[in-house]
Amino acid sequence: MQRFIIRRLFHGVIVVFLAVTAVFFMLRLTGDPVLLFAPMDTSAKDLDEIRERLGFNDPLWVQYGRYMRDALQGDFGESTRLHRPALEVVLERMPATMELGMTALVISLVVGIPLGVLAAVRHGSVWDRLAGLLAVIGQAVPNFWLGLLLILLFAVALHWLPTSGRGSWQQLIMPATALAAASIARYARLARSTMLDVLRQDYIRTAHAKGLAGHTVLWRHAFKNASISLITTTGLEIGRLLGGAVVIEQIFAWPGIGRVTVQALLNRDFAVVTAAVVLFAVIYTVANLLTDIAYAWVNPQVRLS
Amino acid sequence: MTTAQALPRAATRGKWTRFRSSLFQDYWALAAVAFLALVVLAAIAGPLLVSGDVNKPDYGVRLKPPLTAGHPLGTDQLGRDVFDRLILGSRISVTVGFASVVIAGVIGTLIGVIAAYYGGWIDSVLMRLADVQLSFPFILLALVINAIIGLGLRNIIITLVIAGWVEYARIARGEILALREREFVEAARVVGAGNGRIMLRHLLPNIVTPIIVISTLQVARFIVAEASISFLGFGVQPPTPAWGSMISEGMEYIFAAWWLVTIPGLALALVALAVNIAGDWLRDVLDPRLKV
Repeated sequence: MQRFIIRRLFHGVIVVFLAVTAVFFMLRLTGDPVLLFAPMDTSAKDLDEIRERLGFNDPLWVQYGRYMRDALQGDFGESTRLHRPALEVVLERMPATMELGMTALVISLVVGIPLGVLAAVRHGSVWDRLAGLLAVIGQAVPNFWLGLLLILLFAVALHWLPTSGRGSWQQLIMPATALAAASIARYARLARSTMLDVLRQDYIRTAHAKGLAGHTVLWRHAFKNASISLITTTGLEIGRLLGGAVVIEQIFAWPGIGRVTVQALLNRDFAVVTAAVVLFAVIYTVANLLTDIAYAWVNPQVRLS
Repeated sequence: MTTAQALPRAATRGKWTRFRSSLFQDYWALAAVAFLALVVLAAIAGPLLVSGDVNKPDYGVRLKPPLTAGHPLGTDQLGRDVFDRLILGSRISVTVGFASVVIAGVIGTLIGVIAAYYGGWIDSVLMRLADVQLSFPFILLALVINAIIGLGLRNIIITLVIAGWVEYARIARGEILALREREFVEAARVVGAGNGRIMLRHLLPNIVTPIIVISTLQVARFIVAEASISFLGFGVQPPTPAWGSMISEGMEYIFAAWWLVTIPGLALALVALAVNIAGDWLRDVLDPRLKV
């Protein structure tokens, strides 16, 4: 198990390293970094001076080495807009995104899985068709539009919930729901199909034949086995939720990493963009690592391969 | 010789009949395909359907609700007709959906085939690249690429191609790895076929089905991605009517004019829904075991 974790961790470090490298070269090769933040009317002489001072006249590999050395120490430069370390700007937004993402994840697990199980147990019934319909709609409807519809209904028309911001639980409901919709659909779909597979197995018939109670067979025998595939998708799902948060945070003025990244992109504040990209990669990698560990823990075969 | 040639043609005809009959049995799929055909037609005929310049403000008729005389879907904050802008917006969605899926599909599939066929360091490099790309949310990756290479319709297609080729490469690679060791490849090599010929004539035709199925689902994903990116202020810029930027402009008037965010969003959701339904149907007809 220990060797397994170390191997996965090593893999994660490589991915983050390559991501930082990719960001560096993409930014450097596609334009003059000084022009990105210098005012339009800066003279050529001043521009040259800024370039010299910030080291942009050095060979690319020297710049890369310096950039990597700083990045390893968590220094991604200073935000050109906020005049504070970029990493700090991004990190302080992390709790907000975690709060939103985790709430959405809990909602999608609590709603999606029982919905899928119900659809599988009552295969072919009204419940099954309803779950199927919800899954198709949830997958197709763009999350930002769903968010706006929620605002129209619950804030503009009914005045039940505040339109935006963070602080109270009322403000969390709409963004978390809009974010969770697609996940609910995916969990319901997956729970349904895996449960249908499992419920057809011989050992389920055996358990029933032994005279075990229906719910014992359903949850202890069937669901336990179906849950393996649900666990493996959770890492992917966390990634998808993070991606969704980039857009959702913008609509609900939710002060998270997604919102700060979009604003940094609009302001061409690339130090903050880089720090955010790296943070996303780290969260992604950690989520996948935790999923792998959970998977190896549930399914011992994985550890040995 | 004649029988040998006649056989595949008969098989093709059988496939089409099966295609058609299965479509007419599945009402949802039929409705979805019909709706998509309508959207594509609207996109092609767009300029003929709208009256005059859709970007020209008309302050006399600002924020008129749907079903106003002369403006079936109402007008926006500058008095522009929402229906006309919706029709022209479909051109952007359809163009982006088709172009980026075709280009990303061709490039990604070729990369996947090459990686799997040659293996070794080419495979390692390409797959590490794919790993890196997949360790970011798709939409974040697309936003960053778009912010770097610049705005506009052409650049959003490039953006989606760069962000989206990975999916194809991974699927193509997986399929080819399974096929590579099969006898027919060995046989082709024995009769003297070169690597290029084996890849294009023998391996590629065998993975067309999964690639087509993924492509339909990718169309929906890319169209929604374009809308999200334009909604956030990148991609297609106002006053060009793209559904995403229409929603974004309408958001400022959400208290006064519900239709400005609702109508373009509904169009977007319906297209995504129809593509998904059609894609599911296509998968069931072509290859029911495929899990995508």
